[in-house]
Amino acid sequence: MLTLDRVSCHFGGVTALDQVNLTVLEGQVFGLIGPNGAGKTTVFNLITGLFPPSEGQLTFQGQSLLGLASHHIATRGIARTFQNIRLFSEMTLIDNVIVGMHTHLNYLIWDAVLKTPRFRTSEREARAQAQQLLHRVGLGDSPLELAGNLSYGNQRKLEIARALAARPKLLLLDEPVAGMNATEKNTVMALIETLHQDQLTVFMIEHDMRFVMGLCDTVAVLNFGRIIAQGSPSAIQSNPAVIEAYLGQEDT
Amino acid sequence: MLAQQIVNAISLGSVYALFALGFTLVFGILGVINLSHGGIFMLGAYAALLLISKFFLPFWIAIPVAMIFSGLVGLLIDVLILRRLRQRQASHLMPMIATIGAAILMTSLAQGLFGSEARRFPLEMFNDENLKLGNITIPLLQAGITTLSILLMLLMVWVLKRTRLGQALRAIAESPRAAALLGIPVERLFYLTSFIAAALGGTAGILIGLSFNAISPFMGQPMLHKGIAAIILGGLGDVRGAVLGGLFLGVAEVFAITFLSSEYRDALSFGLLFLMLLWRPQGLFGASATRSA
Repeated sequence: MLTLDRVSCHFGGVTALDQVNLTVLEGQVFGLIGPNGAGKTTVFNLITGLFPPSEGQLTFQGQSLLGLASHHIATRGIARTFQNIRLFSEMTLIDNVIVGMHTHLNYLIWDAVLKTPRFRTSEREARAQAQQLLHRVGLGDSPLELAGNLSYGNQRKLEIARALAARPKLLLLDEPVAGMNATEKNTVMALIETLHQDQLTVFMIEHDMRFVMGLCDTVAVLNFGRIIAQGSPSAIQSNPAVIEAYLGQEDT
Repeated sequence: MLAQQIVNAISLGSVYALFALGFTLVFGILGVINLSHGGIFMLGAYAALLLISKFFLPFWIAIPVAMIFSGLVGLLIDVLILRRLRQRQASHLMPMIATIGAAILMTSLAQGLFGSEARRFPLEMFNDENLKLGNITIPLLQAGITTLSILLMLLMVWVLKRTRLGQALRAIAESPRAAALLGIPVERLFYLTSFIAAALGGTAGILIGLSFNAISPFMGQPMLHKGIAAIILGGLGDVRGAVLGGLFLGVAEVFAITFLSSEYRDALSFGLLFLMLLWRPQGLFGASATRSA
């Protein structure tokens, strides 16, 4: 579904990614792990078109993503969350989710001005769907709360709901459970399992090993911009190169 | 007397508010202080003047055409200057300097094309009818100017608060990057914002030109200062703030003229701005560190 073919990325003299090959198959829950600064978020930034790779090919569903603007990539069916949360903090929860539906907007400004039936139906459907998504991530109780007032863990959940609003084919999660307590982690884990059952392809970056090993069917390890191992969670855990990369770093 | 002055103040203030609204939209959404807004204001007035006095269009056609023309000038400035600076991720100062350049260019252009002396709308086109409300007289022209400004402002507020387009714009105001990743065509909406803001600025120019019946190449600069004052009073990037800031400035000026003398007009309004900055540096509605539209 998503392929990175010999992708490199240089910032000035620094090589953030060096000849990275990755393949995410349809319906997979794919995990990317690696020490801090290994270049994991750079992979997501390249996929979502925030900046172009220095070399290499990025393809999604057989089509190249190179040269596409971020909003076009979003329209192709890739949604993401951020390591450092980027919610619209001055909007309500439900409005945050509705903004996420932008790619499916099917009325014109005149419809809104004239309040045509098409506008009203579309608006009503959007609200209902947004409410449903909030329920799904466990935030259905207070849709009119401002996003900025949410706890850290709940902001992450809201980001997931907003990303799902675009009805993506591929969901990129950048450290979805960072800063969450054990209970919150479990609810997010259960959520991702249901998404997996719904055939959504998930590509996540995460430091929490229990979380990654419990959810992912394939894990790749990035260290200093290179993929040093790729395989099933159990194979990764016993891979000597991986153990070396993580040596002295307990479960971070 | 007092009631009459209040009417005048609202009339002048609503045009200031319209100008400030365009100015604050660009700041809130593009994150840019567009110092060519005064130039667009001036060109809008000239466009209306030309359409009326050279092409003999009735003013209910001339005004919308001049509005669209102003919008296109704003769009051109965005495409030629601001877009390039965005692509280079230029610092905040660069768009300011670049748009000062654009403003100077527009002023010289107007000077070259139309001369430096003030021009007037053909007076005979306005009948001198007045609306009488008790002992307040409102010239029909002034009533029209005020109504148009207020309608345009209400329209903008409604678009921003109530429509999906407005929601997308507010999303961009908070984080252009996150908005783009949600599929919002950020660049296209930047163009649209520049167009709308310039159309509002140009309209303010037409209306000020009509109400003082004097149009000159230099009318943009003092207006720009007033616009800056209005949006700082209200809180940078905040739409309600720009509207209230503009109205407040109009009231301050009219009362300065009435109770002191016209020489003190700008001294009073900018003195108030100074006091405001001491008391509430973020303005009436401004949140100190966040951008909002």
